Amino acid sequence: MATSSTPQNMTAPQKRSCPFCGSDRSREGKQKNAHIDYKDYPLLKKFTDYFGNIKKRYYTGVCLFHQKQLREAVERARFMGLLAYRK
Amino acid sequence: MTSASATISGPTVTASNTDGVRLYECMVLLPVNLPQKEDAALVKNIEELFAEKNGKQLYKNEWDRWGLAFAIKGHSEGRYIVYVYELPADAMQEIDASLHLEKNVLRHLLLRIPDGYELIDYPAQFRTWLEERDKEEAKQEKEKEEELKKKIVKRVAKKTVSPIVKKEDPATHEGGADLSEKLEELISDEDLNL
Repeated sequence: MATSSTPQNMTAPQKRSCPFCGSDRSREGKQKNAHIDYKDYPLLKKFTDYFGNIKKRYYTGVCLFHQKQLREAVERARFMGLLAYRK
Repeated sequence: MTSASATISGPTVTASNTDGVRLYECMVLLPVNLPQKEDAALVKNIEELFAEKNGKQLYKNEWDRWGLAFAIKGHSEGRYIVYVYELPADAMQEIDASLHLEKNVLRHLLLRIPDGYELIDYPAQFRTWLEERDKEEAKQEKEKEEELKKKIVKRVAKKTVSPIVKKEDPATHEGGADLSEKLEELISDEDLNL
């Protein structure tokens, strides 16, 4: 039942890894690749949906550490008019 | 991360060792329709704000005309300038306040940045990203067209088979007519006793 209700392009949540950490999921590794810049439009665009909302961690596989950074970057980009608040 | 950010990576900045000096990044959004003189004066004004506080400019990047995601003070387009400055720690608040007062600055963002901050030319990265996206879209369109062509060829092939069947139809109808004639003859036969 569960497989029939999930979209085809969605992989199983357990198998996905954070796109920012990659394989290095240690604390040091996270801090090394930590910076997510608010000026990086192509990157932020990937993590927002059609309506301009930030995509859920459940669907993108981003770890909590980077999701918080991502949120800050998106909010800064919105303030500067690079990203839309709402479509 | 993205393939574009992997290919374009800039130099890094680090603060000098003097005490009480920190690295700051400032991004300002200016209107595009200002007269050239006013625009130059505005930029000079902004840079003087930093210079007054003994700021040392380490980096300046002027972006091209940029379409805004939503209208800000009636402007649908703007011009971004990104600065990296080395400032004394107590100067930030006053600069922030005076940028607020500046009439023609639509938005500004003044942030502290860590040592080893990478200076990337984001507009260039954006342009390469756009080109890649356009290429991919063109590719997908081509694939769609090819699929359509294949479908049409298949349909045409089917249609060429069907007329042969249709040609046979009138013959069967003629046969039917013959049959009915024969039947009538049989029925009209007076010798028949039903």
